[in-house]
Amino acid sequence: MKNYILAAILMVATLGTAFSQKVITKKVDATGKKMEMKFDFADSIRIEAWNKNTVELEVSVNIDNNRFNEYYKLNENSFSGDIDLVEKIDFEAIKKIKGTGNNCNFDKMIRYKLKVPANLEFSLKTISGQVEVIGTLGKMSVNSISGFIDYTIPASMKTRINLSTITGDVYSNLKFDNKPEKEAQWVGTKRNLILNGGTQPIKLETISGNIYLRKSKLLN
Amino acid sequence: MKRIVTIIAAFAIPVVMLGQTKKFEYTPKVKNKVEITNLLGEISLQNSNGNTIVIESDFNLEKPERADGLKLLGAAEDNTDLGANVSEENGIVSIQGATRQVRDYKYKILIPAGMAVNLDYNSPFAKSDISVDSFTGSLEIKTLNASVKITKSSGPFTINTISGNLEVVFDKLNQIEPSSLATINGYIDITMPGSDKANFEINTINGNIYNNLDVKASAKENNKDKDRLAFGMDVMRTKGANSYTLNGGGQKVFLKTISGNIYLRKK
Repeated sequence: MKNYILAAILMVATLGTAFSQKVITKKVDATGKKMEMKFDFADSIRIEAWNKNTVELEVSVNIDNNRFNEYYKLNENSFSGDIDLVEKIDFEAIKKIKGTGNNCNFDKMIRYKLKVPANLEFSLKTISGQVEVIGTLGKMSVNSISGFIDYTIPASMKTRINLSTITGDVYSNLKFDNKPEKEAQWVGTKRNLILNGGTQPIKLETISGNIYLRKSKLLN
Repeated sequence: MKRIVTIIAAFAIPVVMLGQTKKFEYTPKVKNKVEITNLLGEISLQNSNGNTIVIESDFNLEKPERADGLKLLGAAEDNTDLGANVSEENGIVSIQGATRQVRDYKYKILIPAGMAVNLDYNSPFAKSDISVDSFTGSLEIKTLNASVKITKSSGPFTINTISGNLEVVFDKLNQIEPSSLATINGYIDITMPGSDKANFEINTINGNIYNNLDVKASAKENNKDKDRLAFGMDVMRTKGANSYTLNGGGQKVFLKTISGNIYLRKK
């Protein structure tokens, strides 16, 4: 009896290791560099500022119950001297194996977690990713199609936030320098918000996601 | 028996919750004029009892969980908790829709008697119609597609619409200032006590005019631009505005449509 149980546990354990999620970690020195990211099929992207000069990245990948994790790749191009990260998923190969024709409708869960130097200048593009940016101070451009953008802003930051959303809403608890607008915007929201009279350009664009601008609780 | 009560309660309570309205009160420093803009929900206007402006609304914003502690960023700050911004400057109280969600809610605005109201509803995004009940004071309304329904009021009115219908029931006509109702594609339907005195200037291009008020064509006006060739003849029909009087004439009422009918009813 004991042997059976042991055997069963072993089998489950081996299955587990065979089909476990793929985790990629990266450490890149970012001194004097810009960063460009293109994470099209991400589910969530979390970018947090820290006081080191390196970018630390962790991606967890689960494609169709971990069966096709090997078809995920994170390409790093550094020929320009900057950090350039591009997500690549070989959908053609997966479709061939699954025999689903043009239908590439399968479960996936790809999560990105990054720690970046607070002053890093970066741009991020995604289709489905829900983006959270916490405490960064550098020039930034975030573009998402269906995901939300949630930016936690250091309260003292001097910035000009250029934001637009088509069907989403904008929520905030910050006090901007702008005067009330005369005309309400009935379709979509396009605003140029100025915080602390500043000029650091921040660009946030999404089509159907909401935009959240929140005051950082930390003092800096 | 108990079970029936619980069942009734189970149905009734959500209905009561749904119909919850919130209130915002503002006492104007100068009782002069109210301007309502960007508030494109369903609006009804009425006089209030005291000296305060009261806004009642079922405004209830559904926020995503992530927006806890955050406020919707609109054109203006929502300082009423009803999706609207109320401010006063140079003797003019301004009620402004702060967010585009106002279109989905009802607003009942009570204005102290004697304050003039200017309601700008002239937007393709306006969602509903406007109703005014028991209102004394000068009222100016501009709409694009919305109809305006006024009851138990005396004017003076200045109402302009493109495709809306105008229905006005006068309890008596304000004799101090003239009223004007104009629409391009809608009809104008006014009801007035038969004893009121008025001068009507009625103008329509493709519409018909019906009346059971005892209005008479004012001959004086019609004879004004008779020329030499018309000497000794009666006027049958003149170009442009047609003037009519009720009970010998009184304050002017301008009624103007392009394609709609005009109805004059006796109360």
